[in-house]
Amino acid sequence: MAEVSLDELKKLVVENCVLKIKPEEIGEGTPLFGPGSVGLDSLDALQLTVAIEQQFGIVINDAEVARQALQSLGALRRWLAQQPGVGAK
Amino acid sequence: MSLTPHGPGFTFLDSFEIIEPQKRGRGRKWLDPAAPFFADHFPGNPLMPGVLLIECAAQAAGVLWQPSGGAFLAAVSQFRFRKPVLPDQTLDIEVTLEKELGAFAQFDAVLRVGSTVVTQGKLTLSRALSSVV
Repeated sequence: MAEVSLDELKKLVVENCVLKIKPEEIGEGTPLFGPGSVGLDSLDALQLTVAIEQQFGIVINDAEVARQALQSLGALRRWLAQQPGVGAK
Repeated sequence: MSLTPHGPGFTFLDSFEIIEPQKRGRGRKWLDPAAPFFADHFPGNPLMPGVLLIECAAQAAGVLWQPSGGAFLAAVSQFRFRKPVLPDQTLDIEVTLEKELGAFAQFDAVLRVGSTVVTQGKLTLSRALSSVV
């Protein structure tokens, strides 16, 4: 299964969320939410789950799962790698 | 009995039909020419305000998702106002639940007059006030 790249996930965030920092400042470990983060809010989280479903076919319906998976781009990449059948559409 | 918790002056839904429970429904609203907003929007040229078309969609989505009330508008996106909506027309308001996560639910909304799409877009409702953090 092809691993999802960091650039691909950064593009996903940039296209679907309201960023408070420049895209080039987002690192693999930069928190997506909270202090010192990319500055996303809970509505951005909803948008990201919709985008993940559309792009990778993975449905996230549990808010706690979303919270864990969306901590950072690195966390999201690791979480996606654990999901069966993940591949960019 | 009102379909929504709103008072009579801000009710934008005359009826609502569930097409698929918790997934898709259709509301209707006749636009009374005597409604006060038509007098000023615009004098001599009455036109249904776009924000009120969004309110129509939000109320329909609220009835679909939380029929006993307790749904609040949290976000709107991608709304397009394709045709003017005029007094005495009847809006057909179709809402589809696209995604539910935590306190939020996102809907697709299509508003028609007859078979003509007049407005469409997406909106997000929340179960709680001020829950966007």
